[in-house]
Amino acid sequence: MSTDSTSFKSWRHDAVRIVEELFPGAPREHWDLLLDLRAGLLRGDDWDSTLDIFLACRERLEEEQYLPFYRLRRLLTESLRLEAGRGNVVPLRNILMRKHRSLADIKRAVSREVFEHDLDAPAGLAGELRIVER
Amino acid sequence: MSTQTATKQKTNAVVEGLQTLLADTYALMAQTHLAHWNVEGPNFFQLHTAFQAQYEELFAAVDEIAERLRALDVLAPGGLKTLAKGSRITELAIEATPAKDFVAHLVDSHEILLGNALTLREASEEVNDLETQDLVIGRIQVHQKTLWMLKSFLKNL
Ligand SMILES: [Fe+2]
Repeated sequence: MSTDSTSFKSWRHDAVRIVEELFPGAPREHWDLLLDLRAGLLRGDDWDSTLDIFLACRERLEEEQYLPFYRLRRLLTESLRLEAGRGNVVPLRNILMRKHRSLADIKRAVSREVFEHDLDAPAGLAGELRIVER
Repeated sequence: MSTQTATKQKTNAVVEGLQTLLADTYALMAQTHLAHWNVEGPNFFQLHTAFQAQYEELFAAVDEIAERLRALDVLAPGGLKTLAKGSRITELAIEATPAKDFVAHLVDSHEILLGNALTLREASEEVNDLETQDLVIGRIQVHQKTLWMLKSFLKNL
């Protein structure tokens, strides 16, 4: 595991703890997904995939466990952002408030919005979008 | 360290604890008031009414806490900016917010306040300040009860 203890930020520690508390209330069939989310947060090297797994977990578990998902959402929106190429940055707050089910969903919606506001934006913008830590 | 200095430090902990409790209570009151105004959705009437009862209770508590500081011969902090600086409770953005997010935000805010109140309860016990301890125990009970209600709202049975 490539976790560098000096760069391991406390928000990730908090997020991991919240994920761990989700296990007892979650059906066993979703434990693998939660384990993947935990591992993604610990590694902190692939935020596209980690956010995608978060959305998958949320879709399955949020209805029963609103508070932990609210807290995870807050940590993620405060700590990550969506880079949209050419120095454009899209905050995640409002995006994660909506009920997108996957990162691909988010990328489609964001590139559509960018395109509506900036007709010169490149058509293949979705491919340029990526999630990075602030 | 002399006994006198040690006692003074412990008394300071009570005063600082009361100042924090005042700031936290004020901040929580303002957030609850905001939730009362801006909540929307199918649970509007229920939450709008519950939030009102909560901020009214917090308003009365603010007065009680400030006057406890005065009884200890300390000036009470006041003013929005001063009180905001004294609390770790965060503020919601002014934007369309799901009703459950208002409730979840208030849960987090009550928990911040409760953590500080528990520290103050211990500090007042250490200096045998039973009056402050009594006040804080009453406040802890209110926040624990409100937390139970708010968390119950978020449960899906
Ligand atoms: Fe009102």
